[in-house]
Amino acid sequence: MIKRLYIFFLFVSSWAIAQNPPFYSQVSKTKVAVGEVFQVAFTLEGQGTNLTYPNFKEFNVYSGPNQSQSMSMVNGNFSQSTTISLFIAAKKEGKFTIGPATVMVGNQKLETKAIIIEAIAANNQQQSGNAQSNANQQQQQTQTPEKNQYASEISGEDLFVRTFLSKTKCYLGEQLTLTQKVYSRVDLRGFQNVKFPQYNGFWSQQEDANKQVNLQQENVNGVMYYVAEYHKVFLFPQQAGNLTVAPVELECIVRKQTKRQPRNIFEQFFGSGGYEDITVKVKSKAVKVEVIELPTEGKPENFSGAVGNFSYKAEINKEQVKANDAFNLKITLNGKGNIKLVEPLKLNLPESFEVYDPKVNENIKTSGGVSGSKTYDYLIIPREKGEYVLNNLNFSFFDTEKKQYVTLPSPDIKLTVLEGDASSAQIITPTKKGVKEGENDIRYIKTGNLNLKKEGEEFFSSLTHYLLLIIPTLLFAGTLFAIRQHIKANSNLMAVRERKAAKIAKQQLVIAEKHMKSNNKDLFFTEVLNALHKYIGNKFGLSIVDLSKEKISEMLLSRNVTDATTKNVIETLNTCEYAKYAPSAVTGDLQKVYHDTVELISQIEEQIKK
Amino acid sequence: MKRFKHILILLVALIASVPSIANTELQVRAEKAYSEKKYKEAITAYQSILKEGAVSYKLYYNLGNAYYKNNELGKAIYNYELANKLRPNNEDIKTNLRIANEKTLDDIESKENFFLGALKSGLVNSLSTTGWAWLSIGSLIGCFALALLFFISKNIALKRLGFFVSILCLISFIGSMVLGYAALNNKQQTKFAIITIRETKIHEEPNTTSESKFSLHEGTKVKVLETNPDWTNIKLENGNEGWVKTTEVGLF
Repeated sequence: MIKRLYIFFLFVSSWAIAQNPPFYSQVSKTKVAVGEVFQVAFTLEGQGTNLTYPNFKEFNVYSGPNQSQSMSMVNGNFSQSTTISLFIAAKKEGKFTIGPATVMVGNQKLETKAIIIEAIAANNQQQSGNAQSNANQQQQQTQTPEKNQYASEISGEDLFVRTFLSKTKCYLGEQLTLTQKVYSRVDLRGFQNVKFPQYNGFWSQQEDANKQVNLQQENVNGVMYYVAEYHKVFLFPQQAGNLTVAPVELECIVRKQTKRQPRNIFEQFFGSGGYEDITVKVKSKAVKVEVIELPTEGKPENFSGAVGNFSYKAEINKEQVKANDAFNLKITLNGKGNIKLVEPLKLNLPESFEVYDPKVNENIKTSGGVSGSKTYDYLIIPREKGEYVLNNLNFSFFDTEKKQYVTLPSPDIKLTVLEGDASSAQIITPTKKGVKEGENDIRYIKTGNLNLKKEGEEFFSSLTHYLLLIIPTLLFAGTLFAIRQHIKANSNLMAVRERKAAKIAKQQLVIAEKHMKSNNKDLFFTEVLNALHKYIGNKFGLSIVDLSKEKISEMLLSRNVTDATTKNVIETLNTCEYAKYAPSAVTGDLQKVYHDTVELISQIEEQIKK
Repeated sequence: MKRFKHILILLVALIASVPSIANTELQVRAEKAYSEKKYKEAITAYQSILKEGAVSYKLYYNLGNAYYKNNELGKAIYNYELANKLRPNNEDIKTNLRIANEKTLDDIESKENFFLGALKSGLVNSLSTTGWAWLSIGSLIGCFALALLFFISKNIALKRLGFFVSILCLISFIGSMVLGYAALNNKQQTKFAIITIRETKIHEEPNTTSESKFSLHEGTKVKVLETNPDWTNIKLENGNEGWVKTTEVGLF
């Protein structure tokens, strides 16, 4: 009996498949109000190519075409179906035809039947319209037995994902909330293989990941859906322009009532055999957002990228510190926004303060938006004593609600730096910064005479240069030659004079002899003195002026003339001079003086030769 | 004789006046443009002075300044280097060259013996070639004058002084000639090049089809090993060698 029943059902089911065309179109309603959104779906069972669907000129397309695929294994029978669905609404009253869609399955072209839609005047009360449509749906489901099958299929209307973005236009760094919701009219059991997109161009912070997904009921165009908010993320755009949030893909696990009969009495009793868990792939649509740059107008100098709403506190751990001892400056930020992305503040501290990179602590909560606190702990070493007021630690952020920059002034922090210990200064060598170079811009151009020269003109090794070297050389050489000539000439003259000294003296003495004979005493002594003077002068290269008696004796002695001879020469000279100035007083023999002089000259001549 | 003198005076006046009249006008235009921050105009004016065949370190310095202000770093550095070559150790040139060099992108590690090289170039560049020429002339004249003192004087102390100082002057003369020639050589030989375009590829061989080894950026100073109108073989201070298009560098 049971076997027979099986066979019967097998027949029935095979008949049903044969009856159902593999490509068909469906609408959620055939009678709609103007502006009421309803669904059109084209379903292909099996695989096909070149699917085309008709245009919807008379309708407004609200969503779609959305493609959803489902695969199921029922009793070893593998079936696959592709559904393309659109949410549309009639523009005006009247009867409209949704044309056939076509697809190629193998070599065969399949076509769906055209569907006629009757649009009636919009209902004033949306609520009642919804109720009506709900009623309609109920009716449809109950009225036509083959529609039951549709309800058990998982169409785009039954299960879809929607992406919500809190804003479509926002500032750079402003917080956006992205929510992914699954809408379901089927028995949703869970999700798997959720592929979250890369949020390119955003910094993202997910809301607590371990949150329980709760199903809520929501009315969409009059249809009640179970809605699961399964993903919520806070996005902070990092670049300006039109950014796209990539779609998310996930598999939903849906419990479905199978058409097969319970296998045995127990299944029938407990009702467990009539259900099947199948997975349905769903994909959301990409969402676009326009990100605009923060205004440059009124941008504070110390703006460090904070966008949101913040409060700020700065404090130091000591009010008095010795030079070269460290103190801590703690800056605490509190607020909502891209706090994680706020860069450490630029501290405008006096030159003598050495600042080390801060220790950063974050305490960030992500429920209902990113908020929290961030502390920067700066270690600072003052190098010079003095009284300081640190009042330059303002913090600025961009307030997205007021759409303007807000600068929070820092409190006046007073700090006394006392004279430090010399030893500690040596331990920490303050050689971090070199001597500050004052000049950052180039020096000004040279004005006035540019001292232009012909290109390639070169003084060094030029003709002028060489001439200026050669002329002095020639002058020098010439001078040197002249001096030499002069000396040479001089020395020649001396030799001649020396050689001729005796001869000249004798000639002089001959004149003296004449005077002796004429007994002219005065002239005789003058001539003898002259002769002696001339002789010595010529012999030793001395001029008449130089002939003092000391000089003469010195010269004679230096030329190896004996003492006696020298003495005689001086004596003779004395006699002559005396006689010359007082001739009457001279008593001596003129003859003797004459002979003595001749004798002296010949003696000197002899002695010099030695 | 009188006529000759007239002709000579006329000639001197002509030589002196012709370039200076034209250049004064250009110079005034350039200075005005520079002070009004119209640096392109200033560059054009200074360039036209150069085109007339006149040079001076001040001209190159001013042109370098105009290029610097016009954001042409490579050309600015090139002109500063030219100015520096004409007038080594000028404070203004050195300062501006340093400021410009701080803006260059390439950081090449030097492998040269810095101390000895610096000592030598410091000595050679302590005077300009003209300076060396005058020093040599002065030294020689001093040497001769003191030698004459040595020869003529009969005072032994003066003689001794003349002798020693004369020897010192002789040494100074020889030194100034040697260093002067070295400086002249430095000046006339193409030893360095400055990259004058934003970025240039350094090739393995002197043709565009050969592989490019690395690239250099505007303002980088390189040594020149060999040069022809199309390609220049350069060597970096870290030892790398390669060929660059001659039009993309400034040689000096």
